[in-house]
Amino acid sequence: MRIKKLVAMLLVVSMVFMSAGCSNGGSDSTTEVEKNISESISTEGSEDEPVSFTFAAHFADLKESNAALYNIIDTFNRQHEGQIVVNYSGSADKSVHITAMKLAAESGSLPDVFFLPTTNAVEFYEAGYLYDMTDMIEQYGDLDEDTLNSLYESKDLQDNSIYGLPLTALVTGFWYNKDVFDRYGVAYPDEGTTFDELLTMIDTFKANGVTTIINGAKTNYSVWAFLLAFARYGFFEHDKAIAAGSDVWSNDDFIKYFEKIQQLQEAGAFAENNSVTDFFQAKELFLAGEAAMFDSGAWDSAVVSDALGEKAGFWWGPIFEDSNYNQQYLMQAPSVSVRVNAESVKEPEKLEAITEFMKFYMSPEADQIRVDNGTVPLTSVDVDASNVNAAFAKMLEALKIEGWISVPYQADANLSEVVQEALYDSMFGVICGIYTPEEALEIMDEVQTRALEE
Amino acid sequence: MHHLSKSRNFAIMLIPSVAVYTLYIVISVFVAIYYSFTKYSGVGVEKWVGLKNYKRLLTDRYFIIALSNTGIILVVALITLVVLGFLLANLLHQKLKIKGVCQALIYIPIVIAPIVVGVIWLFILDPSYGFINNFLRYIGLGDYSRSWIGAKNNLAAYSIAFIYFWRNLGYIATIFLTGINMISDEIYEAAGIDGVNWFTKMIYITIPMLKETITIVIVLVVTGVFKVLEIVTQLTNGGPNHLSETLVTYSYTVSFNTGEYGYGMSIATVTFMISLVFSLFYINVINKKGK
Repeated sequence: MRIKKLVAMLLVVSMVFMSAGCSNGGSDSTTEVEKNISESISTEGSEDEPVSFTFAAHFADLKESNAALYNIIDTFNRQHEGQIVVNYSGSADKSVHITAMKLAAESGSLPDVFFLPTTNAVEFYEAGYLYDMTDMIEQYGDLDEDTLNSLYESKDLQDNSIYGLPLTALVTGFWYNKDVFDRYGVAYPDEGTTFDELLTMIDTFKANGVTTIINGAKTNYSVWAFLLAFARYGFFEHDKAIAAGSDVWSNDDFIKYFEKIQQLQEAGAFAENNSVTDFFQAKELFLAGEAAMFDSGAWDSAVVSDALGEKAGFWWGPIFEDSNYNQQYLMQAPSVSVRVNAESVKEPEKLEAITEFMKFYMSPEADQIRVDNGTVPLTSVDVDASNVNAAFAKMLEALKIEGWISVPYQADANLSEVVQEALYDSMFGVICGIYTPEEALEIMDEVQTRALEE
Repeated sequence: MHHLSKSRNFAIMLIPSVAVYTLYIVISVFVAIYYSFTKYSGVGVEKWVGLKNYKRLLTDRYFIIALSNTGIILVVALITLVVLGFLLANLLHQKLKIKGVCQALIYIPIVIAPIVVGVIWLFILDPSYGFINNFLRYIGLGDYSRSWIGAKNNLAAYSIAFIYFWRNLGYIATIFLTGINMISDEIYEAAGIDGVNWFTKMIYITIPMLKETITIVIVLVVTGVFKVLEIVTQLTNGGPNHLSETLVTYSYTVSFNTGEYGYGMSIATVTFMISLVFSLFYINVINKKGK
């Protein structure tokens, strides 16, 4: 009897310990989101220990996905060895990272410095999570004038204060494979290539079983080149009025633009399995020579250069002869922003450490690291571009086309999350042949109306 | 044994599990139900909106699509898993030399992580590079190749149902086999002496005696279908344009991609209620029939 009682009590105790183990969430059962939160380490400095803070962004393997940021953090850590340590914490992709930041914010474990799109900036600002970086930027930064102006136009500006600093300059468009063009005798696209000329290219590629444009619809935000081209049908002449409720998405200009996308789809520009291919698979297919053009940006210059070398080209997309708007738009707008946790800077040592890092982050030295790793610089200081990879060199050439100006921000940058998702859905809906242009834009209007009512 | 059978000791041993279950499952359900009556983006303070989220469900085309897809998967899964699982279990109950090997092989799919299952079937069903379409083209039946996933025709719901069936057939058959093994062989022998054939034995002996097992299987299939997430995420990510969403994946998309946590929780609450009502209704009907 006593043995039975003892066995019963041991069973109960072991179940209690097992339950505690489950509730703590060991590494085997932890989701990506929870793992990122639990890895956010923050320690106060002491006389002997360096001050450390966490930098969180949406690159699971930072060295592989964003060599520029990796090297900026690494260089800073080496220069401040024994004084300041920047710990990096990464997520699998942008949406996982945003979810992680929201959960972290609500649970009081927001990283000290973190990436967050402008779309989500307002709600974090209103909840009091963001530190006012105006002094930091104005005192230490020497940002490119366009970048600074864009900051003041975006939602990163609240109550005349800036709450975010661009991670990098966003440069997006089409990478193209010159080998594929040479194989079928198609001329390379350039700043003068029209939409009709693009349709002719598509005919040739399709006849030879080659995909013209690959982007991967399973990753619903991989429409960067199409967001840029939106400007050529007056997006920036309509967007503020749409946001205010005095204009609609289904206006004549936008319908014309979406009809152009539909024409591309009907001409067979996109892969048959585009809707079940994600961005990373699309990249692999492009690098393997299965597609002529790839919708992407500067972040892929290194892998494109490794695979294609001098055979890589970069293009801003076609100009539209039936549009009444400026066609000479390129993309060199501020990318998603780095922000500072308002709670973290209440510790003077940590504020000093973060300020020191942001000062380095905005410096010409960091910009040189960016350029050396295939990322467009943030500052207005000239950098040495003699050692850049072949693909990035093509991109830098494209940025210097005379008379072309950058859009102030990417078309989705100032939209709310709901409207942003609807915009991606609408574009891919037409790309995949699911929606007509009118249907796609009606959905946008429904979502916009609901967003305004709320 | 007298000691262990006392209710007090039962309660003591159950407390840890019940506590964890209450904290992480029961309370979570009520928290989700609360948020379903609010507008909440995941950050800051939620705003009470009453039944607004539920009213929106009635006119949300994507919710209707998700509900329809979940219904298709449920009907296909129920019919195939219950019927074929039962027949397979009967086959495995026979005296076969390779019975052990067969049992192990049919059980393998359930051991594979659902996200890996999605990746495997993506390579099989992809309209361009997938095994099925390329095989059909190779043998001259290219006209029969289809967009099994990722197209407006929305064969994706049936494809997902088939994958769910493929993954769970062995598991369901094993449950049935356990039930069949508990039926005394003497009953079958007595029936055999009376000249009853195998089909009649199955209808009048096996199925009635497996009533509780069938109930368990149906409840498992119903609750399992309402939790299908990873397969859909890997296969189509709910696309194109939400055409292959299920209730769970749409709830996830709305909550975490568009930041509408309140609305997402209303979808989750409706999903929970449908699953609960269906299961309770079926159990109630079976219990009444039993009486």
